[in-house]
Amino acid sequence: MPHEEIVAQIIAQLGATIAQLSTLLGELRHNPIPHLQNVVGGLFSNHNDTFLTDAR
Amino acid sequence: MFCRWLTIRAMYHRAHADFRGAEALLLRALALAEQSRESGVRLVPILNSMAVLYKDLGRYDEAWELYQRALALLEGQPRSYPADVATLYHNLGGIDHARGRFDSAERFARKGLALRIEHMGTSHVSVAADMVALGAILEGQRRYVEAETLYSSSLVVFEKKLGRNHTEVGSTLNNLGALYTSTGAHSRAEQSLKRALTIRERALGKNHPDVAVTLNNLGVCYRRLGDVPLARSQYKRALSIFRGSLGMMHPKTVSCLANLELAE
Repeated sequence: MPHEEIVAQIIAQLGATIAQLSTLLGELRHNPIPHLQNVVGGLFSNHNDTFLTDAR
Repeated sequence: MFCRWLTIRAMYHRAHADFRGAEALLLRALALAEQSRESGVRLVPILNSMAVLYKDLGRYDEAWELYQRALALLEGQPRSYPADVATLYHNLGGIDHARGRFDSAERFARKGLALRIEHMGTSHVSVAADMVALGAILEGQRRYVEAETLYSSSLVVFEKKLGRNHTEVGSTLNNLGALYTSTGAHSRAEQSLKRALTIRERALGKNHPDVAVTLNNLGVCYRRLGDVPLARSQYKRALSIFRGSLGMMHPKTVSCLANLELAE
């Protein structure tokens, strides 16, 4: 296979990979991983969830 | 760098309720960091993440020690880390909240909140998260009016800045729903808890312990409304999730089982 064709194929493959990565990153932005969206500072924080206990 | 990557992976496992996998990764990260003589601030995210995980697992004393170790490391640095120190106060307050030590919890929560406001202003989402945490502590002290004010104002910030379906919105609605149940506003309680459940199921999956917390609270709400069969079905689903993810001896599993027995 001529060198020019190999280079063209590499570039095409790289382009496809970049497009795929870009789609995946966009997906991640719209569907962020739960609880990795850490809103408090740079460190992870716990929620103080209220947990009800019933009484007779 | 590798330790940081292990820590992020661990928190990903935690997000999917794989607590054992998360713990294994964090222990590895901590061992590596200590071996390579990484000290000071580099250890803080690992220690904090381990403590967050141990709180999930009901291992409050171990979590407390880790937070204190992280705080001592930050306070021993030549420069200051106000946001991280505020988060550690927030988290220490969370441990005392979980242990029912509300007075001490309030002191930590207020220290964290004041520090955060000083450095970030009043309308930041992190400030809203601190306010929800403080609200839960005040709710534990039956200071319902103050707690509701904090929840409601934080909810506005979260919905505006993070969107209506963010997990922070779900957590705030869970607490608001629980508060309305405690104050007898059952219709509003049911509405808030159902919305919290939808958000949490969508964001975390149907078998996450946070989903089970809201199911348990819905169960209490339905029992107070007199619909015992519906209450039982919520408790049973919650219990199945707690048993599978946290084990039989976890405080939430034990409390949920007690709720179910009361409804039998």
